[in-house]
Amino acid sequence: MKKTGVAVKKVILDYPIALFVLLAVLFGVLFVPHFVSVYNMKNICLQLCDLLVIACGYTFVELNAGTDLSCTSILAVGSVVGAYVMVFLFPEAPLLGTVAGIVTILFVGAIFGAINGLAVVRLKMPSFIASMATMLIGAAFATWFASFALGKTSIGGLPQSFIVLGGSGNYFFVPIIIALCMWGLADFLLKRTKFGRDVYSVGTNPKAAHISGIKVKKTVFWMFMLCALFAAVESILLTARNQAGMSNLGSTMFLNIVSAVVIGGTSVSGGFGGVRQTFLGSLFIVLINNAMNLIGVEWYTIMLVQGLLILLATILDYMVKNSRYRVKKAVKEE
Amino acid sequence: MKDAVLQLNGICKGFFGVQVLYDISLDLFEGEVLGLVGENGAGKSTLMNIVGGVLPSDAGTMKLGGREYKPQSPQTATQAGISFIHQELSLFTNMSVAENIYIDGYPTGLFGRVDKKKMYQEAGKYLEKYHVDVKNPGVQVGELPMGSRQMIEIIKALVKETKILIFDEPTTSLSNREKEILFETIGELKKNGISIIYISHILEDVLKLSDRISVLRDGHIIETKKAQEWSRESLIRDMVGRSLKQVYPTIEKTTGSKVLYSINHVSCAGLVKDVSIELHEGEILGVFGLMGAGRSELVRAAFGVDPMESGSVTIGGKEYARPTPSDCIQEGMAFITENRREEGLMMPKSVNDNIAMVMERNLTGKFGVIDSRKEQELTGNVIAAMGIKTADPKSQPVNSLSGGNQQKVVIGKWVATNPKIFIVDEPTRGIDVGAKYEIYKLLLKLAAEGAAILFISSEMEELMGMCDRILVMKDGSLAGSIEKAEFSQETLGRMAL
Repeated sequence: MKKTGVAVKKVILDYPIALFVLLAVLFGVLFVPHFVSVYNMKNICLQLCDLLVIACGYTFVELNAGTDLSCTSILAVGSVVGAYVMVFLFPEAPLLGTVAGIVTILFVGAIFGAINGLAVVRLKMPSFIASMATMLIGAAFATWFASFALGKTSIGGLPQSFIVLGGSGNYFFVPIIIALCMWGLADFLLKRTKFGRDVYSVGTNPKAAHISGIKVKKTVFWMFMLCALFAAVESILLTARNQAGMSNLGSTMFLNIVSAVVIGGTSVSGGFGGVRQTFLGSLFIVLINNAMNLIGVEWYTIMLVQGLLILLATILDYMVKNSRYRVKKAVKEE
Repeated sequence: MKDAVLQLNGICKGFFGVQVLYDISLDLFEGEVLGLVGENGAGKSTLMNIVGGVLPSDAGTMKLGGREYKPQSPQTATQAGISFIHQELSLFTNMSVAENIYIDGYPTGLFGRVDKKKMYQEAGKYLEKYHVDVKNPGVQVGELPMGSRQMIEIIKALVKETKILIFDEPTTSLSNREKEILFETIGELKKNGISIIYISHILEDVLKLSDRISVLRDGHIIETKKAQEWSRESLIRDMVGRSLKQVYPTIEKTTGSKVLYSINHVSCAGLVKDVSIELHEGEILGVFGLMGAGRSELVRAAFGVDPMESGSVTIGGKEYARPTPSDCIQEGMAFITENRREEGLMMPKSVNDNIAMVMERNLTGKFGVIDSRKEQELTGNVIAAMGIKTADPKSQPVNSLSGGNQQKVVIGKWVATNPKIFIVDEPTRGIDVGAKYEIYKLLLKLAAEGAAILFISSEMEELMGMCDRILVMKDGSLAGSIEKAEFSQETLGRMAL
């Protein structure tokens, strides 16, 4: 009995958000009409896919106390350029077009990642500024490319083999599997590989990491690269879901991404957290959004609740950290 | 005889049970320069911090101008008329000369508007009075040479009607010409009735400049005499003259003839000048030098932490003109930094995480996956071998450990990779005697097993107890090399000063 108590305590210390997720589920089950239904469960899963992949990517830069404002621009640029490749360059070969589209979108992500990473590592730009520049350029490019170069706001007529990735009809499990694989990959990288250890070391104390022979610049570069590549994968999922390349894709998502990562429990000052926390954070954001949508509250109420929760999460993080030290101190003094 | 402006009476101070100052009594008279000399750690800075209100004293009283003086903070000290000119100047390089001079009390007009005209006028007057080579008070401080900056720092103090000026190593960053100007200014300040406490390692300057000189050693004032009655030799004798009181472990070891590591003609911008060192198998080679002599800068460049201007290092026969820490580690080196909180450890992370930091590079398999079972095993071994006292190595953050245990973690994370060459920079700073002994023992054991150790320290005693040979650095160059048979504090002191 005591053992389970300790285990529960440990889970709550490491994943304080778990408690909130449980409360959100409980709230949904008890008070929200239609919350418990096959249709809504499917919805929640798909909405989770829409957020989870990009939030996992963002976790990498957050672990280095950095930011990547451009990640939502990657969604938009990837979406329109990818759709263009599929619809206009390979109109006759849907399967080949799908592959080419996916590669193109990933390539778009890689370009963003490389620019952000090099600007931070080589030019020593704060990531906020570097990614703000790429965000603006990206958003402008996506709009120009779709509206002026092609004359449409959205590019429809994507090949069926691509749309499957969005989970239409009976294929709803496809994006879920992809999202879970990406999440698993991120977790594997962070927890099991040398690169992951380096991410935490550099995020905690870059000077000590440098002296310990860790290639700090390379590590930081790859954090931005991974963030961008994960965003590109999200772009693929969302474009397929919408069945069109859209120049405004994800334009309102940034706050949800940061909320998921921060509420999940990845430290804003770097070095602590991970994608397990981000999974719970994303799930939580999706649950409350879903529940409040079903109840029919206005969008500003959702914003208000989200803002309060970020505050609460930060305060909780601070308190948990302090109590963690206090517990350790008490142990030491005995 | 004029009146004493500042009187210290029986000042005592200790930190965490270590007594730093014992019953210090000192008088400072109006318009005199009092030189204060002593080794690193003799207590000079602590004493001046007490006078300047940075630290409270444990016991004793101070009188300023005949009245009780008990500064609560640096601000109250400044208000009472005591100003510091620090080693590192505290000027804002992005602001104008006048703004810097009035930084903590701008002349203001209506609604708190800064009266720029008045500020410039007043500042201009002072600049002229002390012949500072600045065209107008609107010039940015960043554009000025170090000498002028120092003068501005002094004027900043004078504006506040300072009666006592404390100089802490003011000449380290000045050219000879600038130094002359500074000394002329100090002469002028004296004439205006300002009293000066002058702290420096450059004994020639202290002898030339001071009216009286006090020697501080191990927290005691050894003697205060008129400057004419002192000589360079007598100053050094009083500064270092003490008996060895720490005990050092004895472990049989021999120094081999094989050179494991060499530093070849390394220079670093202004701090290290053409230094070459050869380090042999099984050798503990000490590097002694006063603060600012360039010892840490040298080894940091040699390990690739900071860039070197010219020169190279040879590790196990391979030459590196631009070493990186990663190269050095690959060749079997370890670097124990003097700054464990900022550069040695990830303070909020666990003992295990910290120890694993360096060894991980050897534990990666396919796709960079870390063999975590091996890692657990190795960290466990290190914790046991080093005797690190921790309740839960997996989750106890190192910032909750004692200083000695933290240092063991730093050394432990390096030992885990079995390096053959160690650079240790001030490995016993800020840790208690018991932990010191353990760290000495560990280093000797490593040397006995054939490792070569470059031991940097500012404590002579420690080096003499531990090393086979000691190199002395002064102003960025090697001033000499002393064999074990010839170790003495006097020789070391003479070479370093």
